[in-house]
Amino acid sequence: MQLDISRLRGVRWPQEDNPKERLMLDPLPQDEQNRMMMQPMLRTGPGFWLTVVILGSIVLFGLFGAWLYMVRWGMGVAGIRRPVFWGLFIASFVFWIGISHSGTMISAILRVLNAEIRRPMTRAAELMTTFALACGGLYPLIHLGRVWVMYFMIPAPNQRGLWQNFQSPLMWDLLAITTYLIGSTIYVFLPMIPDLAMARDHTTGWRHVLYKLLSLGWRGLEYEWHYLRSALKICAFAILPIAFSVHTIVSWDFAMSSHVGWHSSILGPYFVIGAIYSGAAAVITVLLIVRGSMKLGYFLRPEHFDFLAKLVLVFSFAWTYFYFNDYLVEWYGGDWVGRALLTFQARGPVAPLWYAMLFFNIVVPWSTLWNKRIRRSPVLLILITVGINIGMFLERYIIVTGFLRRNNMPFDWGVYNPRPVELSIAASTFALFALLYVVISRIIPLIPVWEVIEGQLSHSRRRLGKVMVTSVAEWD
Amino acid sequence: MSETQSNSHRWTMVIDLDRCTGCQACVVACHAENNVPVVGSVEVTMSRSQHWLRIERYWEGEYPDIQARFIPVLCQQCQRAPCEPVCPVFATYHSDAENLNIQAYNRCVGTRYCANNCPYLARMFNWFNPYFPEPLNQQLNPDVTVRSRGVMEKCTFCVQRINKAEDLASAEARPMRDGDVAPACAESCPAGAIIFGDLHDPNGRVAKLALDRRGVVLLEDLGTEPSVLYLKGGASHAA
Amino acid sequence: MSGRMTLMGLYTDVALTAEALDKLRLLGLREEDMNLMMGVPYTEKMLGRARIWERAPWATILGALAGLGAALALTAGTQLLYPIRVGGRSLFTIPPSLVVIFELTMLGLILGTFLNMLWKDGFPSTRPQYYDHLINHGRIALLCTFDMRYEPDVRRAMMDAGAERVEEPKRRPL
Repeated sequence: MQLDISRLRGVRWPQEDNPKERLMLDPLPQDEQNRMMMQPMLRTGPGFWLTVVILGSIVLFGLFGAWLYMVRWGMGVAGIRRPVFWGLFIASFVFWIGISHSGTMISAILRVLNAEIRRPMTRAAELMTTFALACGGLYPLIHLGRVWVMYFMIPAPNQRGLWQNFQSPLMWDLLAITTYLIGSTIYVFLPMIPDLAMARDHTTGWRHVLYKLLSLGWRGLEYEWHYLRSALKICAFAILPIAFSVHTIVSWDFAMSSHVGWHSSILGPYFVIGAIYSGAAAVITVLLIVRGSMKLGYFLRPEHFDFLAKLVLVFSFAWTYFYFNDYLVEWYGGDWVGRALLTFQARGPVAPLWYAMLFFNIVVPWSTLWNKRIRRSPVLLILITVGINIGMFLERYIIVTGFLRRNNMPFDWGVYNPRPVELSIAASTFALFALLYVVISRIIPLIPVWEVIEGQLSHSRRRLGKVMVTSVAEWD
Repeated sequence: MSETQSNSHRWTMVIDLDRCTGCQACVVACHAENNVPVVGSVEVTMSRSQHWLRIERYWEGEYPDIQARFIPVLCQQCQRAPCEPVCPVFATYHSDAENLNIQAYNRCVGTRYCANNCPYLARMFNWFNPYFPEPLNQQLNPDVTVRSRGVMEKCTFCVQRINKAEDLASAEARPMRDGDVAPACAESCPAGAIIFGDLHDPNGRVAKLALDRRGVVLLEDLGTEPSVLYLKGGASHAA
Repeated sequence: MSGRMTLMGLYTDVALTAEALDKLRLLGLREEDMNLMMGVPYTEKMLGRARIWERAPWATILGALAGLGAALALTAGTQLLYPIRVGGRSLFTIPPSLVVIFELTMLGLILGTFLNMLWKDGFPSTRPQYYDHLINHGRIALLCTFDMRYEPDVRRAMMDAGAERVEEPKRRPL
């Protein structure tokens, strides 16, 4: 007598998911993928131009106009004061350098680990790195009291024979951010060359000239591929310690000081984790917007955002761990100034921001990102990830401006409120980032089609027992 | 000039808190001597008051036994100054010639890291261009730079007076004597609470006062090795 | 009278290309005379090619050393040129210098790798080259250079292996 297993109650056979849902199992001919990539790039309709004009105006007036006003009249038009000598500008600076870790996480770590899921996302994420660094790199200039002599900070021979102080964390910042900017530009450029060659072959006019120059004469010869891939492998490995070092060095702007709350040895790894956390969340936000506005639904699928959201959840655990470490140590064994600082944080004027930060950084991801349906819902993901980045911005704001209000000399405890100039510049930086991204999306193909094809060639389905499983070939 | 002098000076200021009345004469004298601008009441409410030397006033006790305690705080001219290593352009550094913490105004780019790192909050930033309304601009000291906006400044132990005294001593071919140098604050204090001199001068008043059992140093546990010694613990203060 | 000529065949599949390479090898063409252009990086093993590339990333190491030199010049060299004392510390401090050394070494490393790639590939190049735009559409182009006398044999071998088309390519600007 045969037992009809399927009639047993409580037994559910696993549903065979539709393999075509996965990009790697849904191959299309390369020319069609190229076309899908090129079309939105070449299309610059009225919507695009309106966006550019609006963003450009915000950047022109809100950022550069406000900055010029501050340069003309003096730093006093901002809200910074004694003892809070660093304010919203430095908080913004740390935030943007944090966002810049987005690309490295997705692109370099996943490439080093041979994670196939990275394939369509690498370039869009790495471009975020470049632009976040460009936006963040403005702030060391914006917050200078005398920006017209900023060349004093550039290590080059000069007629005074003066050099810079390389014991200063600010000089480390300069070197680290320059290294990271150059490194990540090279790292985003290398895999772009074959796609630029493809674009060169399919365009005319100024675009053709541009791509011809940028693709350097690429033809896809074996030795060209060999040198490209070996350079890429080295750069992927090399950019990882650079990325870790960049945000560590930014954290050392604070940790090297003996100021309460800042002088903590955990600040290095804590800031790096915070950067990776906020960067990964930002990648989700930007990729969802890119996917929608450029109709790249073939390349960027729910599976990718599912994966990224899982990463964000893991990073939120790591961030909470580091944050709690820092907090508990100060709470338990800190001196009276440290305790005063923590009391101030929980009950003073920044308390609402502190609670909001805890809400956005811990409560929101922990309560939502474990759920697969939420992870696959674009609207919810945008809300969650924007919330996470709001929380991370608040975290930087509290660390920079909040902690400076308490110190060893109670007569000089202070207050800080950002003023319109600072708010305008900080908000307009988001417009600058968006503007750069929108413009580049019409110039650079955002999806590395050759990498997607390479992945699709490696993936196949085979039978293992009673099910079809996905099988991935290892090429080298 | 100073290279020919011995650089073994250790300029030290002794402030006797038992004598300080909180009259702020030293503050005003410092403003006058060092071209420190008056920032105006609006800026003061934004806690941007600019005093190289400030009188910190702490209240002690409950009514009717309230006491006011005054601490004149100025740049402590630390031997291990935390403000110096963090300046990216060497605008603040330790001078071997004068053994003082120097602020080079024309080198300062205005990152304000030094101010954040000073545990004594002794550094002041020029948020705006200084304004010296007539006829105050005729009172400016020609020996001292007038700083523009965006530049950090702090007490220099009246280094221009130190340099003048050194020049005079070298012109008269004699070593420096105790009392040759008096910064504006020490000169103006009616209670004689501020005494300035060279710690390395065994006959000077400072060397003797440094042995006073009332001597304390601000925030000693930070290890900054300040050059300002406070004498505290006499009759007008509870122990 | 017999000079050398070049033929270009287009293949849709890596297996066909490998077969074509085998056939051409049997005809006596040397490995250096056969070049492939592809839009996707098929490995040399897939195509049956054996090449020995460099064993050590010399450019990377040289770049790193150059970066190290720059870092030492900036941290120690500048203090030798114009010594300024800060914080009661000595002129040459090791822990802060390590930070600078790390950053500039990594910068040199990456720049060395990148510039080496440009140099080895002959980039940037705008000279007219043999090329076909279908390469970025999934085709593999097989370029072979050989003695003119063997043209019919080579053509037949390439067509037999399943070429989409075989033609004498023109150098055209990219």
